[in-house]
Amino acid sequence: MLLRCLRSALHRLLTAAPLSYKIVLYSISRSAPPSEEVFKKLSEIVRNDGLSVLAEILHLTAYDRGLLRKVVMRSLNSILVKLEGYQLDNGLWYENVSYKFATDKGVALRLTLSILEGLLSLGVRNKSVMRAIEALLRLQKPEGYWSGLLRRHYIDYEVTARAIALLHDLMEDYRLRLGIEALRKWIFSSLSSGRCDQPWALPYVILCLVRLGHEEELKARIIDLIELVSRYQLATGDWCRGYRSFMSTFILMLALTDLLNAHEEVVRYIETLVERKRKLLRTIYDRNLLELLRHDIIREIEDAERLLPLNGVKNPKLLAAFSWAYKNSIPRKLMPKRETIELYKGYLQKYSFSSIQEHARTLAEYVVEEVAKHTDRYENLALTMRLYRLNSWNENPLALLRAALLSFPGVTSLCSDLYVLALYLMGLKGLESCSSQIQPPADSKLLIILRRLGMISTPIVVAMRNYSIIRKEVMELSKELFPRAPFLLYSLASIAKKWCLRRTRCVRVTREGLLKCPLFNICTKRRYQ
Amino acid sequence: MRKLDPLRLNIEDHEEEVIERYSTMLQKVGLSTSRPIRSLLLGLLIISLLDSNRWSWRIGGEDAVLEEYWLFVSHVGDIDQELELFSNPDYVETAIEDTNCLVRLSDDARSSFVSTIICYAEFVENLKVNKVEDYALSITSFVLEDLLCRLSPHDFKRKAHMLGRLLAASRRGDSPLEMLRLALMCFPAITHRSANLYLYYLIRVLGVWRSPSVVRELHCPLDPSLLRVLRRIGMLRVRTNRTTYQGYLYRRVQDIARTLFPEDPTKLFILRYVGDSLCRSRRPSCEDCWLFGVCEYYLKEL
Repeated sequence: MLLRCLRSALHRLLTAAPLSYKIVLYSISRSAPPSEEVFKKLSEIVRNDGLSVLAEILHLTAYDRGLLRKVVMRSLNSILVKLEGYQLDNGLWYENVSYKFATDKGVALRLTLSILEGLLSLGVRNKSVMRAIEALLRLQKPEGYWSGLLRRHYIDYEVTARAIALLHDLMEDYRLRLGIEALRKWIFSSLSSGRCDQPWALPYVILCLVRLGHEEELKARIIDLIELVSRYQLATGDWCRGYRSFMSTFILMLALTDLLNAHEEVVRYIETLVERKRKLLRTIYDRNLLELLRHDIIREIEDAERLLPLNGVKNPKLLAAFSWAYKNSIPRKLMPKRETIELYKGYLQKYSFSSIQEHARTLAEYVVEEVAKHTDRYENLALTMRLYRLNSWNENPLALLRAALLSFPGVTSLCSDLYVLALYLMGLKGLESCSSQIQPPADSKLLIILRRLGMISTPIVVAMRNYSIIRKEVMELSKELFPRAPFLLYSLASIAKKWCLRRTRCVRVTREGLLKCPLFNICTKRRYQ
Repeated sequence: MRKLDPLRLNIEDHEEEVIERYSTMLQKVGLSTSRPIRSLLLGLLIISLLDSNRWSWRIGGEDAVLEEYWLFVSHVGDIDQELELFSNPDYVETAIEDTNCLVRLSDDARSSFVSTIICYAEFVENLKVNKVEDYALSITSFVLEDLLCRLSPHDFKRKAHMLGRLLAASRRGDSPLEMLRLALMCFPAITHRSANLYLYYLIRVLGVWRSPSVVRELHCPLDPSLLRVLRRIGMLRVRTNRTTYQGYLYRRVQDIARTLFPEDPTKLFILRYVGDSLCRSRRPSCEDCWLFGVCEYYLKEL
């Protein structure tokens, strides 16, 4: 049972987690990432993102012996300079350094612990690290536990477990003993009652106790542990309702692996998925699926062009592309809004352009002046206006174009993704340089094939309720497989159309005989063995 | 419907008295029409912010609000002669250190308050207006051209909805007062409660730019005390105090205000005085209250 919990946590991490988590898992199984371009992408993330992302990456570095460590080591100097800027007067790290101290509920403590775990594992022991360690030890209560900075009588078990696991060599003996005792008391009372008041802390506490030699005690209560873990683990594999953090899922995975001695099982599982991803990449490149997709989409756009009234439109192909994207983004039962198509037609009657930068600028101008009168997409309207005022069409035309498109009534994220992809396939000038920002449209065709290949784990019910969750998951996957051109993942849609969505899925009956799906061997839901 | 007429009469009877009281309160800190318009606008904004957030910022009663205002403003500088000091972040931040309650604000609320004061002070520094229409137009253009790009990503995310609404309203040519209200709500710390309270003090209490057409378009500010009184007299059944601009509770209260007083919906705000002084959440003084005849709570307690 616990093994099943471990497997679902692992599957969730391998499918939906950000790139850095996947890299750490690959290095655990000693397999190389499916795409070799991830190194560059990771370096970009480490260089450009804020303190919380950096802290998360440093935290992961503590569990990594491979690529992530290499990336962090390479930009260690810049990281240390960045961290110095974020350190507060009291020695902790926190993102907002404008005021006296972090008036938070333990965020500064968590960030500091994550950063320290990473830096100490890399062997960094400079002045700011020592200051942070001193600050953490200073904040430990005489009773051995840590609490929030403002909530003094609240025992923060997550922080206590992490701090004890990290600083047990530097702590006074009696305080260490009291701290471990507090953790033991908490976890055993939770195991007895089957519920716990801070479920997010549970993986950290289990990992801390297992690594400090209390493994046997926990194994003696394995039935209660199964009940507790399966109560708080979601069907997706995520840890804890209301606190969906990949980090706690990752720690849970580590804790259960240590507790069950399931290292081989984990390695085998990761290797299988990596192999599947590799085969997927090979199929996409070998069969030249992008050309197939280009051909399909251009034909569909031409069909749409024939049906549209095009009076006075300077660029009928673009109107057809928009109409195609819009119709493909709404459910079949719904009628497309006439107003949306008319508004876009009005834009094409008024403006002409030859590059993506001009297109983004003119569309934003049109949205601010004309579409604003008809729409209720206020957030997107404000974003368009802000990006337009900041003259962002030269540096980031796709962000402006996307915000402007989403300001039209009835236009969804899927529609904007499809439209941008159509523009790329039609060869609009300037889009080649932004190809790393073109996202694969997560439509039903792509989702069905990814789900059958076991590459996404968000349940259909959740995806139907909140499209952005599944979109984000698909984006993470495409970023991992195709860092330079994430939209290439969408070329799988042509396979879905030809095989998965047919009545006889997996095979097509042709004059020459049965034609097997190119991904037949790696499909988890294949039929006709 | 039976209780509407007595309620209306009761409110109209006490209207002058309550307005006079609010006017005296503002005069205590020197906010009257004899002040230059620019410093009056800034002062009113600060006091509306403090007054509308007095529960969430734990400032306390009316006197505490006035004291807090006085401590803050006097530390920054003379609001008439040295208006430019209010757009200096260093002065504003050190002035907060001198106050009793603002100093205890969270990082987030404090930075919102500071940036609101700075941006608004910059706006009023060069302001030259005679009519409410000019004021609405100039604040709208300031928000859409200047403030929009200056907001931090965090503040922008919180205020994007209001900014979009303002842009749409300005393109559709909505009424100046609606644009003014939306433009005020685009400042980081200003909510619909603060914006409506500010307009109430400015137009209804001090009588600046007051005309029947303007007064008709004012919205009644939603205050916890007002909502409590409305609930107790049986006009409102919704339990929550959480309100969003144009949300259900907001629209419901505005409907009540417009039904009772189509010419001046802010007359309903007089009930806030009742809520503060008599109809307190604990131990209400029902015997002294002039609404006991229409109050469901009183009848139930009786």
